[in-house]
Amino acid sequence: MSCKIFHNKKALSEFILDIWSYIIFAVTIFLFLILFKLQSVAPTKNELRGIADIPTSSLTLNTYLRAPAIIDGNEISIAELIRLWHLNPDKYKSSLETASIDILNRLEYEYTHPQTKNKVVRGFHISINRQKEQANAINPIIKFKSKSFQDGLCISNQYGCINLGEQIIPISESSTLYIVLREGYKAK
Amino acid sequence: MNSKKAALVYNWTLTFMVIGILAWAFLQFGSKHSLGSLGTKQMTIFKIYSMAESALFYIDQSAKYALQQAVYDLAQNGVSVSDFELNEININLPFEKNKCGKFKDAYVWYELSKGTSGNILKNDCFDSNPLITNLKFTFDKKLNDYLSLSPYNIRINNYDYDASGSIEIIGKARTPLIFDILKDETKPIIIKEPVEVQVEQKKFSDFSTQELKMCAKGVKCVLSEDAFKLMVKAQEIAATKYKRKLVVNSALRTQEEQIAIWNKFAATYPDVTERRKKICDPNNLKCPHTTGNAVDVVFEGKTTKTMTNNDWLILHEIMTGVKNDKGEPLWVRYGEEKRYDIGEPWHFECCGTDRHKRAQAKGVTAIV
Repeated sequence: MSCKIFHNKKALSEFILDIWSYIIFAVTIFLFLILFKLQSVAPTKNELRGIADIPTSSLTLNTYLRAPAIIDGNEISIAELIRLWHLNPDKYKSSLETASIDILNRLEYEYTHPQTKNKVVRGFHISINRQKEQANAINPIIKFKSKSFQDGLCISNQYGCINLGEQIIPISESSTLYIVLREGYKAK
Repeated sequence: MNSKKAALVYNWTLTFMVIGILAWAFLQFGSKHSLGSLGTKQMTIFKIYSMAESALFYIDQSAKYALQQAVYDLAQNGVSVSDFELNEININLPFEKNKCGKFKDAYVWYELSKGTSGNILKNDCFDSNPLITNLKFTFDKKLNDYLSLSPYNIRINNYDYDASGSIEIIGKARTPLIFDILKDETKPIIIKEPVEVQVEQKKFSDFSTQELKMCAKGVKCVLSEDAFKLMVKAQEIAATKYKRKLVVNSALRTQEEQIAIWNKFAATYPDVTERRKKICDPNNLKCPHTTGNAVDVVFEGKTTKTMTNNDWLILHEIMTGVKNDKGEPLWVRYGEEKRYDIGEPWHFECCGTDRHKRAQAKGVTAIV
């Protein structure tokens, strides 16, 4: 039988070598398939956490600072109201508090977690600081929060609550204030 | 037979190549740091966009307050520019002075004089024509003050203004805001050696963006190599002995820049002799700032306006505290010894300028 297919020994050894290469190729593919499969069972978590909230939160902070408030019959922005409060705290503190909480409450939104599908309401926390501190740190002179912001449930990383929105605003030719926005959530 | 041999080689080569590629891929995907977080660069672009928005918001607010303050100041000064503001630092726009000057520290709005026939003539000092010119000038100065406080790298003296309507100023930036997308702005920047630039075969040091933060924001700071070294020494004295920080408001000016400043003051001081008292005439080719051996310096967080007499005294001690082996001061001030109302208490020269030589010959630390 073999004599019909292989005319001599050399042809037979080439055939065996050929077969071996196919077998090794198939075994290699199979082996790596298993290895890749095993590797994918415990994937390295490379998702972006917290940082992904920064662009929208910066926009929210800008919206808050540009939001109008009626003070002494004139329409001014919250940023200007903060300046007035800083120059005359007694007169403008309650106006700033009322206007800020009102705006922050209106900015709250419903959020569905992409993985857990949990529905929460995202709330905001604004702090007004004299200067920028270390990353994540705040040292507020005054702070406000919307009704759905809970201190223990803020968007955080390993160092604590993240300062998601940051803005320096001018007060005078020699002073500025540092405004920080943080976000938290509350179950619906 | 030959083709069969070639096929055999091909099969094995292919097999080994596939093994190699798969092994490489396995090692790459297995490495923790090979890919990093997905979308980091995209997020950086978003972050920089937010930062640019923040900077624009800061500029908007600053402009609003600067205009309010400029209008108030002009009203206080009778549409004129305060004499105190007339120095070469930060002069970016032309302005006009009050025709009649001051009386008891208040600007004169009209003068009474006797005519030839003995009748009393009313000479109106208030001229509404320079209003827009002076408003733009004052506004620009105020805006520069605000912008120099910002944490963003916003250039000062960077706007051309159009005034329209009742009081509306539209500023058009000459150069755009620049943010480095590839550099993480939140990370501390490593201190770099000053960049060496060659101007007219002399060695100069550009420390504008250096992390020594010796240069005021939005200002281009270039000094001759020797002057830069002396400035660093002065900064060390300020930090160690006085716990202060020096900020350079102006350093090397090109001849063109000096000519531009000279021309800007033309409307204010049409008389050249009077103008020479305030600004160095670029035609004499010995303007200290064009040598790279002169600096205008104040303390961090202060301006020439907010520096007190005590501040000027300490600044003088710091700068003249940089001495050579013979104990001679290497910086000299433009002014007079123990007087800060003459000359420019912020202006210091070194390294063989005309003023420096004259002061050393006389053995003084300040000279007009």
